[in-house]
Amino acid sequence: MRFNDALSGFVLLALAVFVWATAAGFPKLTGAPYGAAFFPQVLAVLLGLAALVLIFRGIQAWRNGEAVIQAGAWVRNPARWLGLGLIIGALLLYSGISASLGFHVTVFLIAAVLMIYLGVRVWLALLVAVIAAITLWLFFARVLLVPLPGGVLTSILW
Amino acid sequence: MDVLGNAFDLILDPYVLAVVALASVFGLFVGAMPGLSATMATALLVPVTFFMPPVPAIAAIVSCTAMAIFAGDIPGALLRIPGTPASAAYADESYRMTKNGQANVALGAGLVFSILGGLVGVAVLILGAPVLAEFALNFSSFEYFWLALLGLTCSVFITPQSQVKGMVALLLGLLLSCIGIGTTSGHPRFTFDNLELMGGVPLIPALIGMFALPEVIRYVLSEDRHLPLTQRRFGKILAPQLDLLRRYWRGLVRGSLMGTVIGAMPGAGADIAAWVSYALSKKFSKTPEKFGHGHPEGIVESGASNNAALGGAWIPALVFGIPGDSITAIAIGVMFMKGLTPGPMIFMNNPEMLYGVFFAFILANLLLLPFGWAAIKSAGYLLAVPRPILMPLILLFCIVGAFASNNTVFGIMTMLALGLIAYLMEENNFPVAPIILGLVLGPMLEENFLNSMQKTQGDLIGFINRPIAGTLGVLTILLWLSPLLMRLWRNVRVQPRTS
Repeated sequence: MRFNDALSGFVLLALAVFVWATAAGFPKLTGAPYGAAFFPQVLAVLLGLAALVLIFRGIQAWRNGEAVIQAGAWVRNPARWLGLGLIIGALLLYSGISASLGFHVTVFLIAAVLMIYLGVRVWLALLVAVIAAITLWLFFARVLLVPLPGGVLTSILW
Repeated sequence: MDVLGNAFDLILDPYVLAVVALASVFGLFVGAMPGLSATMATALLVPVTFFMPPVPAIAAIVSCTAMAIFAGDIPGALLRIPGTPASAAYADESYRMTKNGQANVALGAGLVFSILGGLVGVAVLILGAPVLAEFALNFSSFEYFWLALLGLTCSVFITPQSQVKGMVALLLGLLLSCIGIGTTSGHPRFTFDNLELMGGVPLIPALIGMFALPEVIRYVLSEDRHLPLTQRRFGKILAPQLDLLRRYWRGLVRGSLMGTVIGAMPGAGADIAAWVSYALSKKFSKTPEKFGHGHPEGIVESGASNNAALGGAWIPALVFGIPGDSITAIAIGVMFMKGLTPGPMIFMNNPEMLYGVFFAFILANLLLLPFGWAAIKSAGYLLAVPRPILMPLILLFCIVGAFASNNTVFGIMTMLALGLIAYLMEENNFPVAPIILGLVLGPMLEENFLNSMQKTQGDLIGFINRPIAGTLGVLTILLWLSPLLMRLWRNVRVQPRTS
């Protein structure tokens, strides 16, 4: 999805103003010529300048007939939106419920659903998802000792 | 000699060798997958290296990237889709060679000259780095400030699309590096009272978010997911290379040296080295008209160049702590996590570790011959791995990797946020690599500035009245002014003709 540079520029300009204003509230260090606010504020000024250049260029391009937003072909395809939603959903799902549901079940669900969405045959997707969940568990939890949540399977696994 | 012996023992440890072999296979696989870059391979490898001692961790990164850069040639030749951006310069040429029935020659050239170029890069690294380090011992915070700034400036100037967008990416990276409790001021910045942001943006989730997640998103949103494979069986891979070596040894030398130099320039890495060397090869060729019609000369030179760049990139990384490309930026992050501070002192305090890295480089390049040969032979199977299965598995790897560095879901949220931002930025022609340079170099830039100002009590003169600092400063400022000067120069030259 392509936005006109002016649009990106306005977002970046807002960010620059926000950074400057937030940094202005940082305390000054006694005796030190430059404090915690100095570096972020210099960056904010530079970012603001770059944003102005983008805005200027974007407006020129827009005058020359460039669309404000050029959407890729996928935007009109609800199936692609579903795919994007599945990826974001997978990460939110893992963050939200892996602690209670456990690593294996969560990872199995994510892998199986995504593969089926991408057109893998159901039995194959389920099989690969099971193998992936077990392999990742063995490698990260047993070899590298990452404390992955056991969840509902805790009592069986330990 | 004791140091060399110790370093040799370090690298020949069975554990290290096993790590190198596994990292090599991983690198070959990821590099050979279209759309999955060497940087992505490194980013996905980092969470695993997190659990290793320093030498195997760095050796894993070194061998993985050397393999990945070569493996990028495979889909370039067979599908006309470069596996990594570093192969893009000559993907078209090698695909034409495949069409002419010379896939074995094209891929063999990629392999053999990658190894030779890689070895030249390592040789320059081994010979050059200690000399530079001795020189760098005289540096103080003033010089390091300019060096960091020079490195960051280069990364913006080599942005192929738009320098303004490169600068925006760099500034975003630097701003990200401000988040958390600053080491010099001790005041929490931009943490929004979030306890986990106090420690700053976690590096590993940020890396995975910026270099791996966008590829998964791009794949899911792509309309054309079918990759037609043209060839599965190959003739002799290595035999034709002797003839190429005899004919194009000049290109090999030029490509290797050029690649090392470009790699050593902060911000410019293997992909730029390959483009420059391909262009040079054509310029100096006796038969430039053959280029673009399946001619191996350019592949020899740029294939050597992109692998040489890997070694070159480690020179500023080890000597000054300034990464030469996004891969060494990641490696510097890993070294910091291991409690190693790259810089001239590492040559005195940890020489074993340093020589261990050098040996790892040589080992990786030597292993490339059998591993790369096997990868070419099995390319048909490698490229047949169904991506609808692969991509969800990569997503799982991203999740576990982002989680494993801090054992909190905060890492996953960081990855998601930065992944979506990186995807949108790349869609809009903003480069992503400067962000990671900014994130890694930001603290160095700020701390060296503030420390310098403490020394001179706020007097900026210290940045220019020391000979080395002054030179670096003039160099940096000239670089900033260069677009303006170029424009003036062009105007002066054009005006007499038009008037």
